[in-house]
Amino acid sequence: MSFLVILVVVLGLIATIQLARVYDLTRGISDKREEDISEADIKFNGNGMLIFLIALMAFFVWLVFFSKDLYYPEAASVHGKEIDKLLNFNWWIVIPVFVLMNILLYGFTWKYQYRKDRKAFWYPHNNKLELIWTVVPAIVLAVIIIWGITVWSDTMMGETKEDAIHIELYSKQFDWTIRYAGEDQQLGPSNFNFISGANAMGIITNGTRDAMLEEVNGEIDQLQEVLDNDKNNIAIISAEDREEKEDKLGRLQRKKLRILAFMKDMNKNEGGKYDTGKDDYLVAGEFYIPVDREIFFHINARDVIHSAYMPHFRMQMNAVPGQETTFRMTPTITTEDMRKKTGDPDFDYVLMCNKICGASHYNMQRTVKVVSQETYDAWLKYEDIQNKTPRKTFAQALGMEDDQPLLGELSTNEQNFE
Amino acid sequence: MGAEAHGHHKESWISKYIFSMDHKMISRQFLITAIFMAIVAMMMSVLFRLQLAWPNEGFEILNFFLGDRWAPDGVLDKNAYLALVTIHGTIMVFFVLTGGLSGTFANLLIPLQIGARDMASGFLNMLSYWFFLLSSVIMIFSLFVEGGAASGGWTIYPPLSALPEAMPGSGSGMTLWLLSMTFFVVSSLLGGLNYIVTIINLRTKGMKMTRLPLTVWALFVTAILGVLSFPVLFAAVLLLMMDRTMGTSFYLSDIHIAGEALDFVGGSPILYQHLFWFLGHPEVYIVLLPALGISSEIISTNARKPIFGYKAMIGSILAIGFLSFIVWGHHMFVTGMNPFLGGVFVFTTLLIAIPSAVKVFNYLTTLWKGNLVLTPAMLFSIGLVSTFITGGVTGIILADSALDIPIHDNYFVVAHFHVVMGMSAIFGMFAGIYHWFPKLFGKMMNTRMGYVHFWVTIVCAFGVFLPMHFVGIAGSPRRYYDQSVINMFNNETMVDLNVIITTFAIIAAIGQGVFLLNFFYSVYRGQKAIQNPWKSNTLEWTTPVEHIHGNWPGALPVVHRWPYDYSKPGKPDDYVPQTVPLEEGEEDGH
Repeated sequence: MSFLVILVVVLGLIATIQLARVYDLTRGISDKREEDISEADIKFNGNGMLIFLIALMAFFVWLVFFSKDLYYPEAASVHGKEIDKLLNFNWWIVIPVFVLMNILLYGFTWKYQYRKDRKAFWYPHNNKLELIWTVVPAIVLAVIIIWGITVWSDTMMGETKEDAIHIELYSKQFDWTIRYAGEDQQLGPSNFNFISGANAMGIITNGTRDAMLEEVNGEIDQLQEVLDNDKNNIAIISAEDREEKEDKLGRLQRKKLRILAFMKDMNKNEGGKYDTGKDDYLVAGEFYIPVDREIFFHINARDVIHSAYMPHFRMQMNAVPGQETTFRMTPTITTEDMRKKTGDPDFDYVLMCNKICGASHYNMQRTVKVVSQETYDAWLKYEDIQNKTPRKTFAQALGMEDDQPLLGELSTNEQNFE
Repeated sequence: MGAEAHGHHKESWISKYIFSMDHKMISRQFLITAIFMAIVAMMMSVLFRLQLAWPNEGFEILNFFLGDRWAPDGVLDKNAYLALVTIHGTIMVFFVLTGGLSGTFANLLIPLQIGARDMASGFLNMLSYWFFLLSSVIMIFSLFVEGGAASGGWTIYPPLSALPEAMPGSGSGMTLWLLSMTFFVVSSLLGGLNYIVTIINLRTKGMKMTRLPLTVWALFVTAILGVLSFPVLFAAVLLLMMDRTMGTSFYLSDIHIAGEALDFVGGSPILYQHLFWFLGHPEVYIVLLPALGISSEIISTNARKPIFGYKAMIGSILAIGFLSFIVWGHHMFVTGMNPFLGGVFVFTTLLIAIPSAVKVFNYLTTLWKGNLVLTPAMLFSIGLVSTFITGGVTGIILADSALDIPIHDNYFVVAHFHVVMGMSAIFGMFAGIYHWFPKLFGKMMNTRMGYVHFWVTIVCAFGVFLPMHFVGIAGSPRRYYDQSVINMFNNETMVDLNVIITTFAIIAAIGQGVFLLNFFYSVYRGQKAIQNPWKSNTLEWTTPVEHIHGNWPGALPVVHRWPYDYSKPGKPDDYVPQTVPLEEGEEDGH
């Protein structure tokens, strides 16, 4: 194959050189100068502009119809409908401008082709005209700006309803975990220091804190032992290994300090804040939201920036490590109704990642189901509706329902810290 | 510095062609380097377009270029795909359309069009090129390191770009990317300062600011934008380097990756985005303004008609330049930025549409009742106006934060900025090359081949990017390795659109061969140029065809009028060069 490619390239080069020679020879015969553009050339290109204009517009119209089954179905959320209205209004301005301006541009190019016997019209400026085409776009833009900012602030600001459902979209490379508040309607506090295999979101409860402290202490002891043995010449490790282990030890000790820093606050546990995470539900597969209820999404990331993108609801918000973002929306059309509307029995709403986050960025998706309130309630209650298997809360899944503060078991060192 | 002093000075081959301090030679050096970089970046786009049109199908060509590691069995690797996308963007935006476009034409045109012997500092100018070359070499070299080139998108948002654990491209590839950009910023600043000083101080007698050709005005404002914004990119890059190597937490906080909680606390990834886009948005106009300046000049010359509304054109360049500094937030509507701030950025962003609209109307009026000589340069300039219109109108939609929510970061955006910035700027660059080739190399390019090149390019430009808008309206996110894994994009229509786009992209790439052939052939064997082939008014056409140090053999020309006296009533010719004194009672043009 490589040989073939090289052969093609070489043959191509030879052909090019030959062509250049032929061109050289013919140019020697005629004494045409490159800057003298012949009338035939001007006519060819001028008419070409007109043909191109027609082709461009035809291509555009063809695309509009050809792609029609790709367009979003109607917006499935309250604010989405407002966005669609605004977008449609914008199309009514943008498309005519695109068409008209291009017609003028290519039309003029075609019409005013060079002729020797003609002189261009001396027209260096006209203040009135320039004023008109400064003011008219300004007025049109004023409308767009005012309408646009109104829709934007209605979507992003405003009051949150009291019965809004709080749901967390938690992202990592390369999947989403969806967290629902349990009976207490509150999402428990979480922090990256508490993330472990069993606690993917780092939800903080007394139990997860203890487990994490235990894990960190264990790792520290283990590393310390290896390093001590090395120091005492019992089991010598390579310099590289030692450096790596010392680094790791430092990181673990700092992590421990950060965990302990939560201690004071946790022991007070005002308003039972650190108990609110226990009854949360974590969902890994497709997730449900009820129709016509305000959903308050809390959006978080644990490694790099992701973005929660649900185009059918006209919703998008980045997930930024270290700072929670939010988005409120009220879905208006159930999945079932949307299937009827689109005539597609397999239609589903989807949550995608829309900020480059690594190799599998393109496949970081979740199916979203919009259902009636009853279906939603049942789904949230039961892991398996048919067998009435209740969904496990976070604490149940970890076997930490009765966790207690472990203040008494802290070493002196740790108590001092507190 | 008299020309005589220069003229007698014998130069060695090295000081003439390699370490040259002559602006005309530096201009050529920028151009050739940019052409090489453009070929690389264009090839990359073809490679990743193959994957997008025919996902997971094997292509021998991918394996040939990328080897078994990045394209086993000819199927593009996911990380390689992201690296290609990233480096394609980086090279095109910075190396071709910033370094290439400004570097070539600012160097060539500023001294020649204002009547100066050379740049204010030939030495800094030379350094500017050598830093540019160095950064180009590092960027190309970064393709070959362990882990591959930077792959976090051309905007390299941290934490993705800060953590080698996040993706292989964030290892040494990213380090080199940052290093390369550092040198690029140095090059850009040295160049920019030089351009500004030259324009302010070295204008020849009679060359008032209100008599400057619009190319020089555009390059002037471009240089100011660059000098004000590139240092901010430098700061952003420096802080990112510190986060990567010294354990600082400017952009990082609360990160758990690869099974471990990292130490970073208190930083903000969004801070990086503010810094990046504080450069990033003016950068759009750093790319675009020189192209608009070039097309203003070429359209007026070849329409044989003064540019309509010269002062309004200057005003709109200044307005665009100013506004470009207060709109960066429109790249960040969905980052969780305060919604009130979002509203402010909607307002400032949409304001830019006003000077842009003025420019378009002025172009159209210049063409109206003109006497259009359709040279290849003129065709490309008209193409530029068309892409500027087409890409500009979709900007109105994207500027609206509410509308940005559903289309942010999807193919609609990709289509928008490729048309308005990519195509317009590259059309401007082609126009400039065809128009000033006689000045660059003392030869003429072949006109017929220029026509072929133009038609292939414009047909393919719209063939690629018009359908891409529709891919975007369907909601397809950018930087997806394979769209078909998402149900809503897994259908015949989407596949067809992607195949159309890729097919046009391949034809476009092949079509550029015509240009390359024409270019390099003409450099060596082209018809020898005459002094003023396009019957133009500006000063560069009063210099000898053969390059000499100091540009004018005798005294510097004196300017008596604005540059756009085309088809002025009462004049025998349809052009009056700037050096021709005003007749008694004759008013200066505008």
